[in-house]
Amino acid sequence: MIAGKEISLTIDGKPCKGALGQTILQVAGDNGIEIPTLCYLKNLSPWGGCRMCIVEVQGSPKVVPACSTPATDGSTVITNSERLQGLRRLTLELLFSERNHFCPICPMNKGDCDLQQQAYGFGIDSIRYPYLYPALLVDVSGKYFGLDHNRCILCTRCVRTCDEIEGVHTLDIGNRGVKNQIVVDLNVMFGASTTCTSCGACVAACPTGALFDKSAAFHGPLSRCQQVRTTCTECPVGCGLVVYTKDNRIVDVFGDAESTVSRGHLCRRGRYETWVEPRPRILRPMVRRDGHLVPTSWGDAVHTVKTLISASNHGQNAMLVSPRVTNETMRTLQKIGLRFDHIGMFVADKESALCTSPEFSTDAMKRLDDADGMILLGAQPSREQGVVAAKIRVAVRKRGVKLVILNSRRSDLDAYADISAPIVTLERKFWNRVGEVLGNVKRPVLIYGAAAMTAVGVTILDRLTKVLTSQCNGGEMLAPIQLPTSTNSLALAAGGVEPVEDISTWLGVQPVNFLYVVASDEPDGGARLLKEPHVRAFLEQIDCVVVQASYESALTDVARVVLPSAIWCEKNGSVTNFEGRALPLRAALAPSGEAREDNIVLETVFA
Amino acid sequence: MALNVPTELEQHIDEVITHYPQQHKRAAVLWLLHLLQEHFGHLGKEQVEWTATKLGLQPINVWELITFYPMFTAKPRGKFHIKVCRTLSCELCGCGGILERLQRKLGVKPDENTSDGLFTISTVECLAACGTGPVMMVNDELFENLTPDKAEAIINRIKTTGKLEPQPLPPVLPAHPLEKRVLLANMSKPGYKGAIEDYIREGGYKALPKALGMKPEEIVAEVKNSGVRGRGGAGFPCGMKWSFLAKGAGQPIYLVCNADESEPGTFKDRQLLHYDPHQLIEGILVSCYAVGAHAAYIYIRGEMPYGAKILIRAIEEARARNFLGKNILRKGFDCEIFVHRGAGAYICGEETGLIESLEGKRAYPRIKPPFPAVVGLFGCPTVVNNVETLSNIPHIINNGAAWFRGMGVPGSTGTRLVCVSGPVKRPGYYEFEMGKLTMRQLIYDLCGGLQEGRQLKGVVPGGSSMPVLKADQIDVALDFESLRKAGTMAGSGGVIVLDDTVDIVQSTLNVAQFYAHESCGQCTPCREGTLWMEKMLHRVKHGHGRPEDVDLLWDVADNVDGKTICPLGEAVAWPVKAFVTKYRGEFEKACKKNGKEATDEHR
Ligand SMILES: Cc1cc2nc3c(=O)[nH]c(=O)nc-3n(C[C@H](O)[C@H](O)[C@H](O)COP(=O)(O)O)c2cc1C
Ligand code: SF4
Ligand code: SF4
Ligand code: SF4
Ligand code: SF4
Ligand code: FES
Ligand code: FES
Repeated sequence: MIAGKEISLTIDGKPCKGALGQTILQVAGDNGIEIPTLCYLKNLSPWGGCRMCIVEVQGSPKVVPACSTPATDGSTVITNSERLQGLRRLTLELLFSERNHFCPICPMNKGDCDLQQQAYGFGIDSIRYPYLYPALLVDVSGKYFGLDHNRCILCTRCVRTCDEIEGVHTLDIGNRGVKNQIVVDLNVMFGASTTCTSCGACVAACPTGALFDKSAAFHGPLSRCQQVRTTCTECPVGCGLVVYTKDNRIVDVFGDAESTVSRGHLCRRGRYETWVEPRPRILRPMVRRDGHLVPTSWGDAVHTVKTLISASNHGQNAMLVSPRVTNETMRTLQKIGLRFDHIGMFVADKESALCTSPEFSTDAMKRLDDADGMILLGAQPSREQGVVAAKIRVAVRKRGVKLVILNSRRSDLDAYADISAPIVTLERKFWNRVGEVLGNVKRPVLIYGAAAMTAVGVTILDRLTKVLTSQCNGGEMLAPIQLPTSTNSLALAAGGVEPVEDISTWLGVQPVNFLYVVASDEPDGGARLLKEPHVRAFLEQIDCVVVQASYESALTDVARVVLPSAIWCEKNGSVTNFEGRALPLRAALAPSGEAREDNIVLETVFA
Repeated sequence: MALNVPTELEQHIDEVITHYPQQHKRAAVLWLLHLLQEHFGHLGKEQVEWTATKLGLQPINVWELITFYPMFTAKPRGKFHIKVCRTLSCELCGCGGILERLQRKLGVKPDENTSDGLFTISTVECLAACGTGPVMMVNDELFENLTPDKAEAIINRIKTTGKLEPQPLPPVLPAHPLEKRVLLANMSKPGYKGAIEDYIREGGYKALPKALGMKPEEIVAEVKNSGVRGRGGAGFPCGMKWSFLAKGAGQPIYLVCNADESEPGTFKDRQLLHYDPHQLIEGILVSCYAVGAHAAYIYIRGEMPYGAKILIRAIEEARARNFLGKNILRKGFDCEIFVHRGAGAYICGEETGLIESLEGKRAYPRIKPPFPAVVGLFGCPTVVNNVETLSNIPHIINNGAAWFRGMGVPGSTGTRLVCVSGPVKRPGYYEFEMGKLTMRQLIYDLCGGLQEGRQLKGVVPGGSSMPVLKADQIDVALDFESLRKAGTMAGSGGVIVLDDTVDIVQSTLNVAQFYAHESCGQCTPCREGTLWMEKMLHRVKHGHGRPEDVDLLWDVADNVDGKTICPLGEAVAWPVKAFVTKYRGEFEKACKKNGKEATDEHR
C-alpha cells in the first residue's frame, strides 16, 4: 500500500477512507466492500483486462476497472448496479463460450476455480452464445504441472507472476487478439523450457484449471482439504508453507502468503520436491540379525541400542546429526550430550567456517528488497536457496539493481549480472571495473556463502568491503548477508554443536566404536556421509552404527540398528532461518508407519 | 553468436539504436526486426536471440513481437510476398476475385509458399490506399486499381523477369472547383516533387524561423485560437491537448506524429507523407518548439516503406540546411526527428498502443489515466498528433489563427482532407472547408456520383468505425458538429460509399472481421466480443442464422461499447449497431433463409 494523503470517497453509499495512490479496489476492500475480480492478484502489477471489476464513477460516462483506477478524493463509486452486473455476466458468458470450460472434467472443479465460482455467483447455468471450443493443446510435458490452454482465460496472472515474482519471464502471450495464447519460452512445451525453474508460482496464481499441479489433480477440491501452515526445511531461508491434506495424505503444497520471510513464494524444492519426488521411506525400526536388517518393535530396537551403548564402554561414543534437525532436537542433544564424547553435525562443504562464528543476517529478505547493488560471493542461490535467487532476479530486472557475481560455478543468475567472474583475479583492472559498476550504488549488500570461505575468498571479501565502503557514495553499506546452505546449521552451531565437514578425519582422531547418526529427513537418507570411499570402510570397522533416518540409503547398509524419523510435514517445533527468525513447524500429517520425531526418538533412547 | 550479420548491416543497426534513449534501446526492436527480416527473409530462433542479445532483452520479449505484428514471419516466405487487401473498400471493388485468381494461378492457399519458393500470398487488412482499390502489395511495391487480369499479368512479369519493378507514385489528382486546397496546395502544382527545394520555392520553411522568434506559449495560444482539432479520429482540440502537458517535472517531453493511418477507408496521410514531407516536418519542428520537445518520432505504419524512406531523406535534407538538429537556424533550439516503422497492427494507431509499440512492446493500449500528456513515451509527458493535424501548423503560424478560423465553421475550423472510396466515379482525396459542403455534394459533385446504374444505399462518413448514414441522411454538412448531430462522427475522414448492390450483412461481416483481426486481445469484452460478432455474422451471412441472432448481435455490440480499455471496442460496436439498426430488414431476411441447422463450421 502506498502511504499517501488520506482521501474520502463514497462507495455504494458508504463513506470510505483511503490513501492517495490506492486503487478503487483497494479502498473498497479495506472498507469491507467486495468487488468481483479475475485478472487482479495482490502483489502483482494490475492488468485491467478481464473487466470483471468494472465500477461506475459518478461523472464518468464509461465504466472503469476498479483494480487499475486510482481512487480520487470526493468521488462517488457504485460497484453493484444492475448495469454492472449485466456487463460482468456478459464477460463471464464470453469467457465460458470461448474455450472449453466443461467443468466436470476439470481438475479445479468444485471450488478451486475462480471462474467457476464467479459464474455460480452470477447464477450462470447456460450461455447464450454457442461454444467455440477450439481444440487447443494440453501440455503435460512438465514434470510437476500441466498447462491446458483450453481452460485459459488469458488473465496473465501466470505471466506476471513469473516475471514479477520468480523473475525469469518464462511465460508470455503470443499471437494477437482472439488467437492470444500463453507461450513458454520461444513457443516450446513446458518440459523443454530452458528458463523455467519449476517454482510453481504460476500454477498457484492461475485462477482456472489451465495451470494445474499434476500430483494434485483430481484429488478433490482444496477447499475441502485440511490446511496446515508450516515452514519449509529444505534450506535456511525458511519459507512459509501451506500444506493441504486429505485422509492423511498431501494433496498440494503452496506458499504461505502470510509468511514474513517469503510472502507466499517458494522454490521448486519447497513447492514440489519434498512430496512429489518418490523417496523410499523407512517405516519401522530395524535391527541387524545374521547380517540382515529385520523389522522389529520400537521396544526391541531401543533396548538393542541401549545394550550396544553399554557394551561399548571401552572406546569413544560419537553422534553425528543432520543440520536440518529442529531446535527442539538441539535442546534434547544438549541434554544428552554428556553421554557422548563428540557431537557433530555434518554440514555442507566449507560451511563449517560459516558456523564457527555463526551470524544471523537480521531482516536479510527485506534488505534484499531495499538494496540497489548486490554482490554475490561464493553462493549459489538458484541451486540452493531458490527464493533468494528470485529476489535477486527481480531486483535486477525490475529495479535495475547492479549485480556482481564472483562464483566459481556458473548459474542462470550470471545472465543478469553486470559482472560475473568465474575466477576472480585480484588485478587492479578488475577491481576498477567492479568500482565502475557499483559507482552510483548507495545501498549495496554483500551476500556470501560457504564457498567464499577459502583463503582467496576471505581476501576478496576483505577487498570488496573496502571497495564498497568507499564506493557507496555517502549511502550506507548494508550489513553483509551470510547465506548458509544447510537448514538449521547456524542455530545448531550457536547451540554448541560442532560443525563437521571431513568425516573421516573427525572420526579418525580417536577411535570411535559407537556412532549414532541422526540423518533425519535428509533427502539422501544421509548417504552423503559416505561420499569419500574410506568413510564406508571406516564405518564398517566400528562396532556399532545406529542410523536414525527417514529414507533408505547406503547408510542403512552399514547400520546395526535403524530407527525411523518423521519427515518435514510430520514434524512439530521450530527451525531458525538465516535471518535468525525461529519459524514454526506444525505437523500436517501423522507420522507414516512407526516413524517418530527426532527429539522424541532421542529422548526415548537416552531416557 | 551463431548468426552471421554483415558488418554493414550491424553498423546500420547500431546507428538506429542511437535514435532512442540509451536506457530504452529496446525501442529499436521493430527496426531491427525489419532490417534482419529484409536480410535473412525471416526471423527464426537465431535472429530472435541475436536481437535479444543486442538490445539486452530476453528472447521471449522478441518472439512475442513477431507473433503480434503480422509483417514479421518466423518461417521463410516466398521471395515475393503478395499481400492482397481484403478490407471493406477493396472488397466493394472486387478484391475477392483477385485473391481467387492468384491462388488458382499459383496453386497455393493463403500463407503457403509456392514450391519454387518464389511466391507467398496473404490477405492483409486495409493498406490505406482504398481510393485506388482493389490494391495489393508485392514486397514493398503497391499495385493499385487492380483487376484479376492485371494482377495475373503482374505475377507473370515477375515470373519471367525474376524482378519486381519499382512502382512510381501515382499523379496527384487535380482539384475540383468546390475544393479549397491548403495542405494539398503544393503537391497540386505541376512539377512539385516534395524535395526541399520544391517546398522552399513554394514558401516553405518560413513558419519555422517565425516560430523560433516567438515564445512557445505564444505559439500554443495561436494554435488554440485557430481552433484546429485533431484529424486522427477523435477531433480533440490540438491547442488544448498541448496545454495539458505536464511540464517542469524535469523529464524530457516528446512529440509523436501518428502516421499509422490504418482506419479502413482512410488514405489521406499517405498523400501528405509521400508528396509533401517537408510540410509535415516543418509542422513537427514548430510543434516541438511550442511544447518544449527536443525529439519527435514519426510512427509510420509498416506497410508504407516508401513513406518511411521519403521521410528519412527529407529529414536529412532539412538537417543539411540546419532546419533540424543542433542550434536550429542559430536560434538556440535543438530538435531531432526520428522515423519509427510499425509492422502491421491497426492498434498501433491508438495513441497509447502506439506508445507501447514505439517502446518496443506489443501494442497493448494503456489504461487511462494517466494520459500521455502526463505519462507517455518512455514514461515522459508526450503529445501525440496526427499527420494532418501537424501539417496544418506551419500554415497557422504563417497566416495566423484568424485566417485559419476564417475557413470552415465555428467548432470546425480550417480545411479537412476527406478520402472517398467505394463505387463512385471519382474516388480519391479532397480538401475543402469544413462545414461548407454536404455529404451529398461530396458524393455527387466532387466524386461525380455513383458508378453507372448504381443507387446510393448508405455511406460511412469517417472510417469504418463510424456509424453508417442511410441514403436519406446525406444532406448533412461535413463538419464535426453536424455529423455528431446526425448520430455519427467525422472520425478519420474516410468516406466509404455503399451502393444498392452491396450486401449489408457481408459488409458488416467484413468490418467485424477487421476489428476481430486487429483486437490486441488484452481485454475480455473486445477479444471475445469481436470474435463473437464475426462468428455470428458469418453464421447469418451463410444462411445459418436464427431469428434471435439479430438482437443478440446488437446486444453483444452494445455490451462491448464503452467497456474496454481502448476505444477499439467502440470502433467495432458502433458500426455493427448502426448497420443492424438501420438495415435490420436485411439481417432478418438473411436469418429467415435459415433452413439449415447450424453446423460446426458455422458456429
Ligand atoms: C483503434 C484506434 C485506432 C486509431 N488509429 C489512428 C490512426 O491510424 N491514425 C491517427 O492519427 N489516429 C488514430 N487514432 C486516434 C489516436 O488515438 C489519437 O487520438 C490521435 O493520433 C491524436 O491525434 P490528433 O489529436 O491530432 O487527431 C486511433 C484511435 C483508435 C482508438
Ligand atoms: S514454474 Fe515458476 S519459473 Fe516456471 S513458468 Fe511458472 S512461474 Fe515461471
Ligand atoms: S494459464 Fe491461468 S493464469 Fe495464465 S493466463 Fe491462463 S488462466 Fe490466467
Ligand atoms: S527457498 Fe529454501 S525455504 Fe524457500 S522453498 Fe526453497 S528450499 Fe524451501
Ligand atoms: S479494446 Fe480491444 S484493442 Fe483495445 S485494449 Fe481492449 S482488447 Fe485491446
Ligand atoms: S480484475 Fe480488474 S480488470 Fe480484471
Ligand atoms: S486499401 Fe483496401 S480497404 Fe483500404
